[in-house]
Amino acid sequence: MLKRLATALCLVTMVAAFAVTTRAQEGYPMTGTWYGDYGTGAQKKDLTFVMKWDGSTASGIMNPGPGSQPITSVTMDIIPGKPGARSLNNPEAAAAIPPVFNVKIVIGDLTLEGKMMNPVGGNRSIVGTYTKGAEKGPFTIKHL
Amino acid sequence: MKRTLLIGVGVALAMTMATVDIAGQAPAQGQGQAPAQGQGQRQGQAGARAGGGGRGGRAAGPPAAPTPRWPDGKPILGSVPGKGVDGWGAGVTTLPQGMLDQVPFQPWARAAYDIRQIDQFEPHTRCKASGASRQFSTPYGTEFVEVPDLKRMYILDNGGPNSFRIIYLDGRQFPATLEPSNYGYSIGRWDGDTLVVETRGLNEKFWLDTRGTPHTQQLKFTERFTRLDMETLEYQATIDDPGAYTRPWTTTKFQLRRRAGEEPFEYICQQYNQGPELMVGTQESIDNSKFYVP
Repeated sequence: MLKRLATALCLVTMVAAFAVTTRAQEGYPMTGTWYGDYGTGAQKKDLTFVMKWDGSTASGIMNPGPGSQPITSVTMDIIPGKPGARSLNNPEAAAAIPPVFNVKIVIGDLTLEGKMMNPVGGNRSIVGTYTKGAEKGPFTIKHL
Repeated sequence: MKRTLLIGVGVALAMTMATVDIAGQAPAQGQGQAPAQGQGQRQGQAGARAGGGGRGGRAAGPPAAPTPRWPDGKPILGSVPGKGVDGWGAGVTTLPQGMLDQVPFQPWARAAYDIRQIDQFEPHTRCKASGASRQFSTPYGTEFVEVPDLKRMYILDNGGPNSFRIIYLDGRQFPATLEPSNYGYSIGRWDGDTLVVETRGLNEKFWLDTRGTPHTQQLKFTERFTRLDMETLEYQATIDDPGAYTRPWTTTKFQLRRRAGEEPFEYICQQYNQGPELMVGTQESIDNSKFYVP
């Protein structure tokens, strides 16, 4: 019975956390909560970021709770695309190229460098490569 | 038995929380407001040709009647008592209109704006309440309801999620803390014949216009409403948002045209719309392939 109770409480916590964090926002793309992992196979490790934006600097923490770490730095390098006006049958729109958002997140000796996918959508994600000392591998985080 | 009941209640509560929260956001792509933006634009253009709603100057004809006024001399921005119900047609498409290169975007904000010219999954088209200047882009009109005795005004936008904004005219100050919301907290004052409205406490869940002018929660949004005559309402906004722009900037002046005698009608903005192509699929450049667009 206790096991069932613990399972139920765990479920409640998970769903409540999801309910709290799943919020669309259309402002600065890094703002909010991100979740994902880095590494491969058995070495894969979870990542959670909570970030905010003051207008000039993005900041936040990794893995909130016991053992959390402040984010050392977040930089977003934007490569402009080729704007295109959207309108009916406008050839410019078809030829438009969206800007590219390259992101670098440093937390102590862990560095994540990647590209933000669908940067103005609520389902945006960052995919790239992590380095930690001599380690190197893939990482993915998704905006919640 | 009690524990089983506890478990059941707990799970039900959790599911309810999740459902409520998710329902307030974005379902799958293309859900929500039934008419496409393209449809709205076509309506506005038709209205303009008929001398009704839409942007731009008046059609040629006899001069408009003068600005209606309350007994105390202040302009009436909404319907004139005893003369039927009026609304205003869509007047704002994009705040940077005519001055895009002068807008002091931060790099991320300009990039976001550029992407939104290609991908028009605007929150408003998914039934999200959209405040500030977005209230004056709805193709079915916007109405001002003035209640002098209460010293407040309501702005109703027909279309979208059928919500409203309150403008307090009683001289109050902004609360010390504001929970960010879609319509924010608006305080108005008269500057001669112009109603100046400042709004703070806006969240980041909507676009400022149909074309995707971005903002952050740091936005202080100031609007100036001037009824030039019976038929025309002039609108201008100042965007002070250090989260998205390098300095405050002021838009050009837009003109909203009176929609004489047009009552707001019941409009259902329905989530989980099964006909998303009717909303955003009328323009060929739109990517309809995304599964989930919050």
